[in-house]
Amino acid sequence: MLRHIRNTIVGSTALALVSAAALAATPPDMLVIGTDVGAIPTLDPAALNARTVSELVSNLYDNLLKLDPDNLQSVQPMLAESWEVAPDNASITLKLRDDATFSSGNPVTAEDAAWTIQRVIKLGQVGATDLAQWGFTADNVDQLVRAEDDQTLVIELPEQVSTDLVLYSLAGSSLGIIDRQAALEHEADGDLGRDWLRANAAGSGPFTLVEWRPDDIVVTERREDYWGGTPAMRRVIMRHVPESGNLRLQLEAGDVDIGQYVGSGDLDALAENEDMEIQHTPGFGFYYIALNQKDPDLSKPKVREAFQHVLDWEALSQSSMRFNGFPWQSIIPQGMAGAPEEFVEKFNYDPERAKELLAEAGYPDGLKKKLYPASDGHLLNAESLQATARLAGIELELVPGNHVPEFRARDFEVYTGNSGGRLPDPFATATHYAFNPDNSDEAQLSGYYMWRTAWDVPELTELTNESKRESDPEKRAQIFREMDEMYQELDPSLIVFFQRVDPYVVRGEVEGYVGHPTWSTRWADVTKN
Amino acid sequence: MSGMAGPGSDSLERPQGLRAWLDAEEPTSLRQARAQRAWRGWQAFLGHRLGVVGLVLVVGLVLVALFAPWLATYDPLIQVMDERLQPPSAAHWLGTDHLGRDIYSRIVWGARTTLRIAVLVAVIVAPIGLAIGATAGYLGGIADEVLMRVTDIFLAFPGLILALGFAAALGPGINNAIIAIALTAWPPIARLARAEALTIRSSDYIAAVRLQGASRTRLIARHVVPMCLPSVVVRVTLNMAGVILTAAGLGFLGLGAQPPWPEWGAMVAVGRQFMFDSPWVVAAPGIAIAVISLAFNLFGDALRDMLDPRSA
Repeated sequence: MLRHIRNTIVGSTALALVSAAALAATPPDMLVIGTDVGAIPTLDPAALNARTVSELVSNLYDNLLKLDPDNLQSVQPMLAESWEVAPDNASITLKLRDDATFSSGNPVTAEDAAWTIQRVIKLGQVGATDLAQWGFTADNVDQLVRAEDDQTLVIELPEQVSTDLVLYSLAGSSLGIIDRQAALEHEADGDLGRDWLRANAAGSGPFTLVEWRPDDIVVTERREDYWGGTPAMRRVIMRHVPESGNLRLQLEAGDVDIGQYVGSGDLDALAENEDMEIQHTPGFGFYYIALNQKDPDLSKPKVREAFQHVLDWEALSQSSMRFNGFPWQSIIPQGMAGAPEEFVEKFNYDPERAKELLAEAGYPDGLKKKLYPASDGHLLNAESLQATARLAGIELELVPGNHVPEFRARDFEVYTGNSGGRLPDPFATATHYAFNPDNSDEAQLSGYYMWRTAWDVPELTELTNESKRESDPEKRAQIFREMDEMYQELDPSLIVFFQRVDPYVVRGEVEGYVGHPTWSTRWADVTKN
Repeated sequence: MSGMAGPGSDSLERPQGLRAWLDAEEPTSLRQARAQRAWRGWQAFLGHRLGVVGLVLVVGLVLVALFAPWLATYDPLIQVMDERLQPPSAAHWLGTDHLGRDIYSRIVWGARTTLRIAVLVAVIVAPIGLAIGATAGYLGGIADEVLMRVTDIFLAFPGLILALGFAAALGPGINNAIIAIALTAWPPIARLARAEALTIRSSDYIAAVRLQGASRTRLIARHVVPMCLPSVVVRVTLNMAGVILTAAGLGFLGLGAQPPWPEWGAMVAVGRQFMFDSPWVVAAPGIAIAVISLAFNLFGDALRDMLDPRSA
């Protein structure tokens, strides 16, 4: 009998407890970041767009330009000392500095930069998304992007496009400049070094890759001969700590200096801790409810309007969204051209109103739909939506799990998730929310959220295109204002409730770690007291 | 132990009284013999103090599940965001969870989910295990080989892993979880039934029945299976603890009952996020799982002692 009892006790205890591994406190010249390195499939800049790996790659590679985290519209020199936009906005000429070297010892030349840009386009993976929007293709990129000499890079633009957008995209982590010689030495079957760069780095950044164990740890070491000066941190380590409670304990014990992806419950507690600072880094994306327009019920404008009133966003902003977003009901991120000065309430939480709207749409007895959260991280919001929608007569059957693939394949009814972007311009969010050049299933434009919901508004698509072509800041702001207004009037299929915020927990002794809204947080300036 | 007179029993009319009838030296009818056996078993069971505790808890679970609407103090689905993560108090006996739902009410309703899983798994598993085991044991030969190798295949995998695999393949949901658990719970029962059937099949009474011309089906169903039943019942009861833990494990991983329906394992899973500052969110369902699995184990152990002729 004892054996059975013991099994029972052991089994139920294991269910409730998660063991916390004890580590030594971090040395003064070492930075330990507790994060989620589980989802990193490759370190190749051309093939990534996720947050954690973007931060890592931004420290292994240098970009031609960088964006100041405090003022994103100001483009700063990096490998390029200076740049010049042709008077007709048709080309950009960049002058590279002559003292930068790759970790292999090779000098950084304009040839490397041109090859990197050509490579991103030719490989055509997610890293190419931004550049491809400016009209670069595998066929034209060799002619348009070229090195005049060792220090001069010329980028000709294939079509009329705001040159600011092009400069921003050059600062993205997918365009970290690669050591062409090193990559080509390891090329196999003409893959442009893709296989080798998956697990190796060949950049000119302040840190080099020492070890990468998937789902465990990434170890980087500083370069003593970095052109921008030797970083203060000898080593920077990214540890895989997927369990939020675990990460919190390690932060409190000082085993980890920076915490990313901490759960909302633990953030509540860490906010009270005097040894920590929580940085609220706004992101270029939103938390939204998506309604599939292929569904005959959900495609009625009154039903879409009803869904604007079924989320108790005010209560959520005090609980699960306290650190992950702030109420925002516009598709232009705060502080950007054409954005409202401050939060404007366009729709309130009002289940009674939603009920009336449903009745007007022909559903006096309510609706029954399936609700798909993007991932487990969205479960709290989804459960809350489920409960408040019930009050409005909308029965939502919640299907937990990771449903991004269904969303991309238009195979959902109601979906809740968030978006993010690396381009600090409203154009980036407009492509997500207000751009759908071809609504057919065959088009497979799953990069655009509006296509995913099968909502077709050519006027919005046209405005987005216009904002890409226009270079004048005043006129662009006007375009975005008009777009935002039109979007709301049409009762959109993607209902925006919060703007995204990425919380970074930083221990008090760490200075100079500034979470970057485009996920290219740089470690070179980090110090510790 | 006085006043044990069972209502609805016609034996009350007997002048000697029920106790005397049950304690009589020599039973005069088949019914009396059976009643006496049950009575002695019950007395033996009562002597098993921990077993009684287990039984009381299991009966308690059944009652809580049956009367959930009356026992719960709140609607288990209503969210009150202003009252999230409240510690236990007079208003919320076990506190509230991250969405401001009353944990006590969710535990009470969760008992239904747990009981439903336990009962349905038992109902599915016991007949399948019995049929396969008794058939294999009685027939022997090729039939035995085939059936037992299939059983071996299922036994070759750890139960929880196999259940996880089935649940993931079938998709999340409570019915799928029940099917997944049932698929992994029948092999030990079949093994046990086969072992019993092997010892029974060469007994004289079986030979006698066979000589009278009974068909194989009749033989197995009427004469082999009843003899396997006691040990199977014990086994199923003892397995219940494992079944409840597996169900909680599936719920914990999001493969069991789906939100917003309360399920103890899923409650532990979401509570994990708030474990350090609001331990009651995890503790309450965790304790419920532990207590109920323990109760089934205690009850099963006592039942085994009672039904096992060797230990009597």
